[in-house]
Amino acid sequence: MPKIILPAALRGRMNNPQDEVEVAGATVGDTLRALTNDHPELNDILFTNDQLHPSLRVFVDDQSPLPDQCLATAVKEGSEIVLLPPIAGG
Amino acid sequence: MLTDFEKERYGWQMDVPGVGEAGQEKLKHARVLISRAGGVGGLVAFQLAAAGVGTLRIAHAGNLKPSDLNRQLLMTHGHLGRPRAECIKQTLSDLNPLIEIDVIAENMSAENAPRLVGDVDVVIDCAPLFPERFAMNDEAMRQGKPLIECPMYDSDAYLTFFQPGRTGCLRCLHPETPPEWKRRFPVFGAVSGTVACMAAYEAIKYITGIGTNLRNTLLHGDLATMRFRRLPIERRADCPYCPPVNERRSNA
Ligand SMILES: [Zn+2]
Repeated sequence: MPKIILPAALRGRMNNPQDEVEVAGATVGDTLRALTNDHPELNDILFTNDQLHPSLRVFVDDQSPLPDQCLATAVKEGSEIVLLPPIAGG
Repeated sequence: MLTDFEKERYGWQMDVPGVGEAGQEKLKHARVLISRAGGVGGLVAFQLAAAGVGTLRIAHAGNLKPSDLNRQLLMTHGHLGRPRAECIKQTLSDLNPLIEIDVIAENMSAENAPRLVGDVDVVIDCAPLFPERFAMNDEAMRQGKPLIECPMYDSDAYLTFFQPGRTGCLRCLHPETPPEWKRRFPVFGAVSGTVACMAAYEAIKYITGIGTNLRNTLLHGDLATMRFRRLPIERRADCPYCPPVNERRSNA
């Protein structure tokens, strides 16, 4: 299954923090919906009006899909999806 | 020209291949702006002062509070209740009296950014609020100045080197302020200091010309899992804050 890597900034929002989760799905969109089904507390950080939050960065196997194609990007067994929300600690 | 004392003081770093006296002269004549000298910016300033960057301009408002002291290593217990700017100046001057330290008791804003960014070579963004970061970004892009972004949160550290005309900018990376961001964030000084030291070295590399800056690349380090990744980032074609690519207004 594809794997989603969760940084501290997202783990801190999870009721049951994990630094990575395996989720089923053939696209980035599938896997993120599976993630928010299991962890609805992340929904507001990942999505706004059913679209990806514009400031969330999503990387798939160390590549950066174009924002408008991100949810449709194909993932496969062993794919790693990294989610990086904006942070500003200084 | 370096004095004999400067050659001795900076001798060990002048031994780094590619630095030498010429590189140290570049550091001596460099001017760097640091937005806030807290858990990140304080350590950036400390490293750049130690390395002999000739002029450090630091913007940081407010009076020192007990809750600053776990990470803001330029601040000392005896200064509690007094302006942070005073303490920043004193600590850095004690470390290196050979350099000019210009501390302004203001935080970055759209109003003061043109003046503070105006005559520096590099800006380093260490502010804890997105409006301050965006004010710094927008002015750096307007003036063609490289901008080092080095935010952290808990065990997360992000680092990238924005250079107008060659990379995107902070607005390309995160176009919108996240509504859930809070002024107070979880932090150990060891984590903010780690990203600070890497950001300081990005500035040293840029000024001296050694190594390779993190252009078009976001480094994400998670110090809880010790996973580090280099991730590709790009200019957004429709970013209204970036100058067009290839319009090289900066000096490198
Ligand atoms: Zn931009």
